[in-house]
Amino acid sequence: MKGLKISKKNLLIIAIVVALFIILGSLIPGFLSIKNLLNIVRQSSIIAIVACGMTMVIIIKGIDLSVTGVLSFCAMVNGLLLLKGWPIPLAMLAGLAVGTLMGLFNGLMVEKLGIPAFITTLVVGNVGGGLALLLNAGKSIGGFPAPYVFMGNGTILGVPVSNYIMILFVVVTSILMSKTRLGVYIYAMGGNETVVKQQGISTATINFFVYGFSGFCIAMAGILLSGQLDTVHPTQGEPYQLDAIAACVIGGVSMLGGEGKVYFALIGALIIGVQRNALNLLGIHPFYQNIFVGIIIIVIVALNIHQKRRTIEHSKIF
Amino acid sequence: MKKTILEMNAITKFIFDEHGQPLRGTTVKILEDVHFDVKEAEVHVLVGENGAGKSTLMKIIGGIIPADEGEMLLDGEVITFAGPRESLAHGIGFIHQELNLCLNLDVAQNIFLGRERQKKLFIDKASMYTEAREMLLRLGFDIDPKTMVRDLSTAQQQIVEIVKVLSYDCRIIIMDEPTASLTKSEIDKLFAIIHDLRRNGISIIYISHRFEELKEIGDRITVLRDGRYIGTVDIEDFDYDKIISMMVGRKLGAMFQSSHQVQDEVVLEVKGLRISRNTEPINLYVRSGEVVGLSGLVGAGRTELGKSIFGSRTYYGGEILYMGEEIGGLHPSNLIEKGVIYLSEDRKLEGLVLDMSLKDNITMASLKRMYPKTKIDFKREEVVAQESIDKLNIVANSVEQICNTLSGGNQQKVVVAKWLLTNPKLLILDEPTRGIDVNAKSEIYKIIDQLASQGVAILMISSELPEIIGMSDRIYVMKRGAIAAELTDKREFIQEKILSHTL
Repeated sequence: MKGLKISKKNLLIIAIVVALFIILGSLIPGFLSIKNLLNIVRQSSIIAIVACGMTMVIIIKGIDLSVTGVLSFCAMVNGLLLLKGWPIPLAMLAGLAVGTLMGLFNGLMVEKLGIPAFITTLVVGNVGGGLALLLNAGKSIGGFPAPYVFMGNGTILGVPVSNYIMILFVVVTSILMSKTRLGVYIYAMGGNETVVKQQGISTATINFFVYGFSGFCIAMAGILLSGQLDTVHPTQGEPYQLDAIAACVIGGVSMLGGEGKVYFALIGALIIGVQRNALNLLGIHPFYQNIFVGIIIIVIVALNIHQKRRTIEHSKIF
Repeated sequence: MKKTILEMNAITKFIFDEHGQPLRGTTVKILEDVHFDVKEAEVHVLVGENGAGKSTLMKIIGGIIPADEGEMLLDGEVITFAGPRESLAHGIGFIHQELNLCLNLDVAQNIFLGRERQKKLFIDKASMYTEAREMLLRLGFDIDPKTMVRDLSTAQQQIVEIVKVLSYDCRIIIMDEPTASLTKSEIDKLFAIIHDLRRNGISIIYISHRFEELKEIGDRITVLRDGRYIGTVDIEDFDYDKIISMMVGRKLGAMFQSSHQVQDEVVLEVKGLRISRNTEPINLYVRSGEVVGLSGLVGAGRTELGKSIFGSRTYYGGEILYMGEEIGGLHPSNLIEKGVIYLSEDRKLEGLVLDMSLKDNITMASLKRMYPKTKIDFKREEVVAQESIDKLNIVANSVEQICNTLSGGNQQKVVVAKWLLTNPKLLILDEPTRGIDVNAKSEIYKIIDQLASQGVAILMISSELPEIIGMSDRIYVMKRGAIAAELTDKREFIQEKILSHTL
């Protein structure tokens, strides 16, 4: 991969971000305050971490619709263990393991049974959502240990701890995608699966890794979120599924597979974060926000596909 | 005497169902008792019509599909390949007809896919680029290994594929129509490579339809026909007519029949139609019982014209009259009801639902007419489908067979059967015999002639000049989106003459 080369399209994304900040900054009092901006990046970190896994999944022409349920479930497992007095690292490990296992299960279904990704992930997500409700009879939990809350809400050198973790995820994902064999194979699988098989590359490894990693990212996002809020609500993961997909799509990850960069998904996550924050500050009810995000996704994907069709038509002789 | 390195005896491959399981109970076989061998350092050319089994045989050697019967010997030892990787590990490389590249990766990544150079944990891009560049240059191609394969021309992509396979140090390289998309100078380079390889003791199995190539590079020629081994000849004994008769199994000439009579009634009239903003307007007509050939180079706009008439494409001004009635702007489904049919050039994409049965495909376009009251009478559907199968001589086990498992010629007949069932009055045929074997072709010609005798007006788009000349009552030649010539006198129906109008 070419690394972070800035194409016209990418420049456009950055321009949109800048424009968004200027417009919103002038429209909404307090939008550009340090406190609010830190708020935005902190909130965006959850979306960005989920988007790391989601980017990979979409690149191999899949989709992960298990975010909602798995995120809540992992957070709930982790939270309950914390309240039981487990040490923080151990409880987190348990949460991460649960997420990874659910992701691996998705990979298994896709690879071995050929179940379309949207089905298996949707089902796993719903099961996760159900388990999250069952575990604590539908009730929220909260009051976690101080260091844990610090991880979600605290800052180091003025930057939220969440964002250090987010940067770690984005950088690791990016290196993985651009500098390792596995990364090449992931792109190759999105480009032409037949070739990948003919080359004797195991699609199982790719599927397991990609879906497992996505599950891992989702679990991490769930854990961070519970730290940020100092609460786990069994349906807490709800907005992040669409947000993460939107972040990828805005960041230029093609829904047709094979194309996309994690760095730009991160920018996509910031855009979504800004958008949510602005709507909040404007006093627009959160219920409207999902409608908004949905429209953004449809418009961008439609434009993307339309553009592709036009290039095909233009490539003809007349 | 050169040593034989690969030998295949009594290879049989049955047609298979949708799960890839062989259907042994049938007489329809893709390969039957085929013999094939490759000697050290030779170019062994494999010829045969489409559907003769060449690609299937190669897929068996390449480990992509297994043979159902027979044995394969490599260096005198019986061997079976579980997959393409295994075949490659035994030194057999396969350059496919369809490109097997990842368009979203760059040239070097494609060449090294699956065996990336590593530097500790990470891939070593620098050395991959250098190596790829060297490989390309060694073969005389100046392609930047950092280019995305998507941005290369088809010919360049083909070259990347060839370079990729060559980089595996193979002893046997299968080339399935490698020159199909190459230019003359690229072909020359490829032939130079082939000569080089042979000098270095590498054997090549070369599939091609271009006879002029065979004499230039071939050592031996093996002919397959209808899945059977017909024979092998040395290049010294190469004789054009002999090879043709081995391939066809009978003399050409009786292919085209003409028993139809052109009538006066004009069925289709196109006036001043532009297929694009900056092309000349098109005028043409087709009468009842007439076969009108539409010739021209690929990209001349023939398909676009056909689709414009059929309402599946926007055009830029002009009138389309069908039996005197303006039909421009109507949806294809309305036109089908009126008896206008367009038979797509791409049967797999636009003509058939490959995963559905013969029966379902055949009756698909007529369900509305056959069962206006929504309930489908499956018994009758079966009978109707069976009649079509008998009438068009489709080779299949039953009306329930899945179209995917049929040969190209039979698939095309299914498409024809589907449209005939709608009782068309105007038939636009787009490359009706592309990719099907000679026998099926001659049957399709017979059907076209019969239809014309029944008064159907036929507009036939074709790139094959013998077909255009043999079938047409009148010929239009298209060039750059417009009609360049109309030939009405059969004495003018000469390949050279038509070609001169297309260029």
